[in-house]
Amino acid sequence: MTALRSLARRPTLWVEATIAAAWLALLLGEGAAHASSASSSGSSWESGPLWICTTGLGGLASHGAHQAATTAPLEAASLAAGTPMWALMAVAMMAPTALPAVRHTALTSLYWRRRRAALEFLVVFLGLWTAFSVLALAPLMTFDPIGSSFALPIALAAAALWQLTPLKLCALRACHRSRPLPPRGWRASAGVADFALHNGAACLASCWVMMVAAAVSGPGRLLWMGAITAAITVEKLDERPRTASRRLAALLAAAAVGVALAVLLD
Amino acid sequence: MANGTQLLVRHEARSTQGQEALQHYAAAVGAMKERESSNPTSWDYQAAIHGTESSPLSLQKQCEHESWYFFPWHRIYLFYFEEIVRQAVVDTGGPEDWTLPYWNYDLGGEFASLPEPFRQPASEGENPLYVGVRRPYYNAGGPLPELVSTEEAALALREFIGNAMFGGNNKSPHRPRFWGQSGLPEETPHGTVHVQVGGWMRNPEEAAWDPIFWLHHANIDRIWAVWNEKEGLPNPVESGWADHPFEFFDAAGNPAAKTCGEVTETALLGYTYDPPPGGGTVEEVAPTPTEPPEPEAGAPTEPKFVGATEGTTILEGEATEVPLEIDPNGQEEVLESAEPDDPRHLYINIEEIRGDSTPDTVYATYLNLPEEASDADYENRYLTTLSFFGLERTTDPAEDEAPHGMRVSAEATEIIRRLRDETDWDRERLRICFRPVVPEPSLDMPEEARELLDTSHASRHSPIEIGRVSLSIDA
Repeated sequence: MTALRSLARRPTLWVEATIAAAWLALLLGEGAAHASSASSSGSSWESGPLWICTTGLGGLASHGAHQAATTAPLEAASLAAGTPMWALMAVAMMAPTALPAVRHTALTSLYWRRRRAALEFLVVFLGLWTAFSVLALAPLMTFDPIGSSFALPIALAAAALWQLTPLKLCALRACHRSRPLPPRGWRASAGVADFALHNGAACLASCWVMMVAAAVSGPGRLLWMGAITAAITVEKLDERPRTASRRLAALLAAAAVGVALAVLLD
Repeated sequence: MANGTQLLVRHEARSTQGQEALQHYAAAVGAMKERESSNPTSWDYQAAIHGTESSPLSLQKQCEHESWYFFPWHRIYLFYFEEIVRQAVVDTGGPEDWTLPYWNYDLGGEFASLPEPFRQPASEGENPLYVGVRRPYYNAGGPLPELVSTEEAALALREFIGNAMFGGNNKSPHRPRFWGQSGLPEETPHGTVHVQVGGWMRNPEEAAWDPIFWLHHANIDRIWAVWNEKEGLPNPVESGWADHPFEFFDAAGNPAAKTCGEVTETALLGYTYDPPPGGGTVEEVAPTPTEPPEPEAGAPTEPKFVGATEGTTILEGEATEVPLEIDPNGQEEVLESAEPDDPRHLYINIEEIRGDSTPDTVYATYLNLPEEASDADYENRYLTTLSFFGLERTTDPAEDEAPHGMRVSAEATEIIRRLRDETDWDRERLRICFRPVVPEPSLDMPEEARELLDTSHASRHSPIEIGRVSLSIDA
């Protein structure tokens, strides 16, 4: 009973439940898509790059109705379909990495507004990532190699290179900084939003290339998403930013080479 | 090193044995300063292990602050440094059982002044222990103020890790945190003495070049030993602490390491203090270390925040006050927690401290201090003293370490109870009062120090930002 009471008082419990629900939705969508593609001929929606634009939440709901869009030009309509999908992906992938900041926000807020403060943080943090999707996907759609099988190794290689830049290190270090949180009223909400914006911007600058890699991962994308989520989470938890970013750069470079070789030998 | 049956004894610097040890220390420091700075047993190399403005060599710039490694890291650092100095003492014809003296400023009176061999002769050429850049008042023999030198508040703490703690917050790898929080002794007397002595001592990257640094840290090490004896060795049991190793150089200049768990008692390293931390006399101290009790593991409870200041507070060298609003939902709980039989404790947390460098002013912090405060008010409403020592390290940490905000928490239960009893309690707000600490002139102070009092301390400094001051209750 004590353990249950302790669990119920946990200020981030609903955040953790939301993350689990997001992963469940992705898993169910993946299963449904596999079933749909097995009963149809030709390419399936999960096989192409930028699957989040070609699928969208509607794709998950209708069990692969967008499958023909795999090789079709990516248009504004598919971008609109992709944005909610990107938001789901942000909940599944980025919210776990933000849990320490959400917990910090909750525990340094007045006791009776802990859950509200956590919610405010997460809304702003994930809103930033969703806004990024709109900005990021449009130029990606005009980029020629995105339609090829080399999209993923190129994105992984770019992510590995980004890991080694001073800007990346600066952003990763900024992920460890907090902001003062006023206690009450609109100032409290504004303070949480300010912290979430700073933390989210640092997280975005640190991880955006890896998120692009997840977006273009194509086949086996849930595995890629899981691996990238774990990598980002571990990197952000590590108290030695330079060591962590270099270690991840090596992993990403190895993955890029491995995927490129697999594509060439296929 | 002890021969297995006899512990070496560190003596107070003003005792007969301490004064004799200081003569050998001066000669050894002089000899170490002559060595090449690339030699791990040289003065420069040893000092740079704590911190350096230059590109660090192997194992340099490693000092641990604002974390639970503060006490063990410095104990191991002093242990190997003492071995190196002892070898230099022996090489110059000194005793083989030489030990590092400690500076017990808490004894007050003349003990609160820099020991004379560090001040006279006042020439860096003639005296290896003299450093000209210290605050002139202290080089003239002025005593440290009691608020700077006291160990009373440190020894009253109950937990190594907690809300107001002795040892500093958990710094295990992969444990995310958004602030560095030292144990209170790391602020007072550790940080406050660093900042007050001034000069190199004020900067973590230069502090260990001042020979008084080592006697100051021997005293901090003694305080840890005394607290352990008093509280029954309540050091952390987590493997992230107990098994964490730190590497230094031994007397032969070879790398040598010890873990935190190997240094929880001074006897494990073959030395004790006079008087012994556990009381009695040195002759009565058992030569072998005692088995520490099995402490209970477990994370400290998370505090419930019930009030905080609204904006940033700026300190620039002058008295400053800031109102802390207590939320209506928490006002009753604050009063309940202040009851003598209530198990909860109240804490004031000074959070998100930022600044470009450690200021040369330390601040005493009070609750609801009246405008015309009496001596009793200063005593009854005193919370803690803030040194901000190492502030620059939090924004630009050494080597590959994530930056953090700095935070200090101190227990306020007793003060709030007194305020309530004195009917000076406003249930809606508290006033947090920061007062620069300046030594009071006194007749037994050396005349030169009295003349230097004003010019040595009156100064504005670059702004220190305090993001928030909050009131919390342990749940």
